[in-house]
Amino acid sequence: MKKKADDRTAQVRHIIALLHKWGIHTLGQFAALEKEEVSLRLGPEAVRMWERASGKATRLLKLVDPPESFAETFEFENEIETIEPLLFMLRRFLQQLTLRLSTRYFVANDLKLRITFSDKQSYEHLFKIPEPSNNIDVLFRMLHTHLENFTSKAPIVAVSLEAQPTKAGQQQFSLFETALRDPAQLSETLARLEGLLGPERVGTPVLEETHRPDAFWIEPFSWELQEKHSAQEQLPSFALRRFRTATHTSVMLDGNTPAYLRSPDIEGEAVEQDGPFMASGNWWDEKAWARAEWDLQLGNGALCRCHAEREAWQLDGIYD
Amino acid sequence: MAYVELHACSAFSFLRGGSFPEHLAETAARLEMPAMALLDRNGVYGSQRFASKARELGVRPIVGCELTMEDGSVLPVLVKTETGYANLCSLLTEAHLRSEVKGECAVTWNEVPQYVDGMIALLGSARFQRAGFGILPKQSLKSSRRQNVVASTLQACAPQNFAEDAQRLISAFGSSNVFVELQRHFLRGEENRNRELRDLAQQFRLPIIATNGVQYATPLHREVLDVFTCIREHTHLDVAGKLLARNAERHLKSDAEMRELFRDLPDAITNTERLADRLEFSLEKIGYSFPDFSVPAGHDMNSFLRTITWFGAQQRYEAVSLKVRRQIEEELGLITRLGFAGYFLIVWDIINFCREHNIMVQGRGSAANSAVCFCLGITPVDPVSNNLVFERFLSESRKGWPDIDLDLPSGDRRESVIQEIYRRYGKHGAAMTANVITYRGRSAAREIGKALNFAPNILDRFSHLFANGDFPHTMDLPAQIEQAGLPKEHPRMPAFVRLYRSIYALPRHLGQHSGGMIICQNKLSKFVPLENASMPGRVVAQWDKDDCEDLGIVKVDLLGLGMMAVMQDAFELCRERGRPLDLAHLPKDDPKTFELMQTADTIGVFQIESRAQMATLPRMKPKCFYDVVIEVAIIRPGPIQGDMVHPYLARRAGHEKVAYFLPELEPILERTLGVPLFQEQMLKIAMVAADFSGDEAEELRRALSFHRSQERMEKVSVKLRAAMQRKNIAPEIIEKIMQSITSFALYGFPESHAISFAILAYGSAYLKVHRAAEFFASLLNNQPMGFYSSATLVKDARRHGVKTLPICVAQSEWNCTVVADDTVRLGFCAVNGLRSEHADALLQARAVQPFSSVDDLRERVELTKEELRTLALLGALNSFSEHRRNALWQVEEMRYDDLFGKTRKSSSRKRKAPLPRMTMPELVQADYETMNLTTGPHPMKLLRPDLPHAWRASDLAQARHGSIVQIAGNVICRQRPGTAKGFVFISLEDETGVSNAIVEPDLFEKLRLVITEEPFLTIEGEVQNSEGVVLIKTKNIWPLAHAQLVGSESYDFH
Repeated sequence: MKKKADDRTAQVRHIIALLHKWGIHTLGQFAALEKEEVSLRLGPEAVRMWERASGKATRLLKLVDPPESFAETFEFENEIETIEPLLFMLRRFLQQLTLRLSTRYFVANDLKLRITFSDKQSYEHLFKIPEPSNNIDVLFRMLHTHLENFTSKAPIVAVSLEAQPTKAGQQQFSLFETALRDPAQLSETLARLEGLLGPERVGTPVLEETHRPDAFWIEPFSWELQEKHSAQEQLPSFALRRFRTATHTSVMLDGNTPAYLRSPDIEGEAVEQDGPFMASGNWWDEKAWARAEWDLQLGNGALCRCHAEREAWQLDGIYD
Repeated sequence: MAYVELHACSAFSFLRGGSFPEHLAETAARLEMPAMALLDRNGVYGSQRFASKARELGVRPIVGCELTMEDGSVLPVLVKTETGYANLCSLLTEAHLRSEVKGECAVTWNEVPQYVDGMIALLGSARFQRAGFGILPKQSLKSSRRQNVVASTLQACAPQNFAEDAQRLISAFGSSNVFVELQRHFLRGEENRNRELRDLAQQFRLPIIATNGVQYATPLHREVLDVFTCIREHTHLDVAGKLLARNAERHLKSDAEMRELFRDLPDAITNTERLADRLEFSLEKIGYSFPDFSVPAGHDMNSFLRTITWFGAQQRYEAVSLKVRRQIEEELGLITRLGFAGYFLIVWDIINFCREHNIMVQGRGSAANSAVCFCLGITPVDPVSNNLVFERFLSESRKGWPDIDLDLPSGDRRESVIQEIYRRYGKHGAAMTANVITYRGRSAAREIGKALNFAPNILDRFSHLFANGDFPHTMDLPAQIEQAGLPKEHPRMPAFVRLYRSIYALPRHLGQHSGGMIICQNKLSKFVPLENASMPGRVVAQWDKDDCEDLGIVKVDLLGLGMMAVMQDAFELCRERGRPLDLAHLPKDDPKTFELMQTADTIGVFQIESRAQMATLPRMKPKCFYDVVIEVAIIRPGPIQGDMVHPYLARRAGHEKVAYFLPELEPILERTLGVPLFQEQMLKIAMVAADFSGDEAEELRRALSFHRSQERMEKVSVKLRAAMQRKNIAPEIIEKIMQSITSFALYGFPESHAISFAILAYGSAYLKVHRAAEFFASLLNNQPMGFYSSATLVKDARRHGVKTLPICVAQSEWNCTVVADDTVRLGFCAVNGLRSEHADALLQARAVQPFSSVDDLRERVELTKEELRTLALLGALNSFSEHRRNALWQVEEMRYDDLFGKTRKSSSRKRKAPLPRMTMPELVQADYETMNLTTGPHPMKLLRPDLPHAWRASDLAQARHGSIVQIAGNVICRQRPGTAKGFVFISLEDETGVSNAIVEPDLFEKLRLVITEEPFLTIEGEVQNSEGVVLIKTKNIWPLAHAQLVGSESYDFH
């Protein structure tokens, strides 16, 4: 259906381009041409256009509303450095937005916050609303919690808030979501945690596709289960019980080889060593890393893995 | 016994190695390695560069190659003997020539046994490596998803049964020629594989060797390799993950480091030198010989050359003077002693082929210094009367072959000569030399930017802003990137800058040289692997022209010159029209021709049409042929950098006294008023001022012409300076001489070359004056070429009294034709989007019977609707129609056949179209849309009434020096020459001619996008009017509002 419409649009455009080449730039000039001549040269679509241009055919006008955008923006006259004026503005935005949404029988499905700083950088966050709502208090609490511990390098010059509308009560929930007594509660808790710990520390850990052992990143919490990444290389080895996070340890060296290891969990002389296994990466930015790993057998028979990074030693884990 | 690295790749493994071969050789020398092998992927691309550097530094170079096998695995081989090398080249040639994709090849296991003689195979780590190390073929990665990289790598690459693989190699190469290769890169799990390999070695009694599978010279270059991996795999560093190198251990390691790594296997180290000793082959012994020329019975090549030379002398010299006789005898003697007779005969044969097939040909370069070449018709320049030095061409002290370059008309005629050479010597006997395309400014920045995951809009903006990114005159790299939208303090900026410096000039891919051909007596493919070029019917060698020259492989340059094609066409048109001309017999002192040059009216004239040349001509005021020679030579990066243009012009105009660096240099520099302009003069200065011998002068010449090596140049400079100091020459004079000599490293012209070019410049200027119609018609037929577009040429023709008639289906041919001495008819070749086979059909139908109407044309020729529309729009159907819209009305009419096969006659046909005539701006716009030119008024003429303040180009000569004026026009040329310290030159065309403006770097940076993107500009600035040259020193620029007008394409930043 869409293809057909697209084809027709292309055809109409082509006809209009040709008409311009003919020196026909107005409807009057077009209507002045003879219908048969137009048909002979430009085909049936052009005839339909000609009939409309000359008033021989009519077409019912259909009212098409431009998609309404539920967004509010404000540029501060003076740069602001505290959270209060921002919250004040956001509350006003919410009042406006919810009012506009309500008049159209919509509720907010999610909110997109954008803060612009004086150094031309900006911050964006999408607030997913578990139960679409127009309740200003609920929505404001969500914003407030998120911004509670918000800091930035540069003062704020502008803020905008956009609401994604949805029909009230038609939102389909996933299996567990609806079972929650207060759907807003979970997201509020998550927002509060993010505010406290930083968004990069709240969510689901996902293994990174990198040579860096045990590297992971945090994906925002979601009800949908992530597809499992299975890129880990399978090398024959003993099972390693990893310490997460790796524990700081002190290692005495004999030349370049670890000779004695002391950590809160394990301690002893290294009677046999395998390594170093060198790995490095992310050399292109500030996350650059390089480490040398060793497998050590200690005097007491324990087999462990440790590594040195920037001259600091850490115990990665113990082999079973 | 010392460790020898026997498995290293350079950047000539194209995206699989991160260092220059020279850099690897230097590092090997620093590590005191006695020998080292270079094994690039599927070729020996970098081996000559590596070998020559390694030999120079005392490292014995070993040749090898990593072969991509049909199963996607990699087989590293080392060359043992000359036969082995010939076999490797033949094997690679076979694989490359049957490959349909350029640069890719796959050797089949079946063909290996017939080529193994003289080669050693390595069985080991390379056959198990991962994609990240550049071993995985691209297609297998594409088919797999990233999650399964490791598994798919092993499936795609590694042989599944190691013992079987060993058995296969042993039966092909013989057990004494298979070595098990162990590598240790501090990786978890690699020892398991090494253990398997050691077991295998034991089982089959194969010796083991240690290698480091080197992919870069130093650990720092691992970054380059990671970026190359991203480029190869079309990804970026943030998501490349395990495709990237795990660590930076694949660099060249010292004997001590390798011994420490393999302390449990000392044999693996000692075996490397043992094996290296067995690899006796050296590239110096490839056994190349130039083809013999078959001569008539009773002659050998020398006697035959002598016979035809004297025969030519009788024809070319009116009387053979004693001086000429002595020169020819001397040359023939030297040619015989050096054994080059065959080479001269083969070039003579090519010249004869061209003559027989009516292809204009002219030798350029130092061949013009030889009387023998003049007698054989290789060059039109008589070296005796021009006092040219034969030693510049050929001398006993010179090792290499003499350099004969042939200029041919570009296009089909040159291609026919190249194909004739392929035909004579076979697909395996002749090849184009390679041209290594390297990462330069914009391409390097773009690829690195992509790898660093910069936003595409930043990269696009960078490309737009720095179309000529190689000239960092006004901004350093971080500032350029910042302008493109990336903050200077971006965390990836340091990596970007670091990578840019490392990647700049590394090879990107192999192209073909514009004209260099190498040929061989036997199979050329035994000396250098050959590949298919991307152009159909062309075969290209894996070495560039410098490599071929270093190895003594003779090269004949068949260069295409657009102007040769123009002149040949023009001479043919003159002949057809009964007023014949011939380049050799043009009057050499035609005042009108010199007047044209003096007034810089040189649009379309060879070499002296550029903006810089045009700015010099009114100052130079050429009065004789030799002035043209100097004019051609003077506007080159060499003399400009050496600050020699102005002294010469000042001296010529009498503003400055003629002076010489040293009195004894007067005879050398007299002709050029004491200013060195030609390479020959440089060599003679070195011989006189620094007592250089012929050999040393030759070394200097090589350094001058060897663009690749700054180092080579510096070495000769030190020697030259020391020699002059020994002769107690004043330091300031030494400085001046050094500056003038070193500046020649960039494209200084040899005098003979300048003479050859000046002949064409003079010839084309003569044609423009005396055969303007033929000249402009030929220029239009050979577009695109030169500096100016067809639109500008048509306007220039009009200024020279030549009318250009529009295209007409009843009159036009495919090419533009000369209708009268002052009239040219445009041909169908100028129409955008008209297929040549459709135009041919039209011409054939017209030849049978002229068309009577548009319907008749539509009935008899199958043209597409779009083609008919185009012809109607540009007025080609006006002979059947009152005006263009009328024709358009007619071609749009639907046609259908009735039951009896007759096309239905339309009732409306006879009637006039109800469409309005095109207005003048509409006509011009339609012309530009359909032909990129107009035979009507210049767009600026239509805009003129709205531009009361803008000066016309033709009026500028009257402008007062220092006054502020406005000029406006269609931008036809934007240039930012490397030698102009960031200044930009803009040429604007209006209805009266061309005006020129110069923009200072600061203003250019401020208005970069306006200047580089806008087709019409208004420029306000100060008039600089000196010696007849008017230049506007720009103060302000703004786009010219031009409604719907369209202008011609401009010639930008070449």
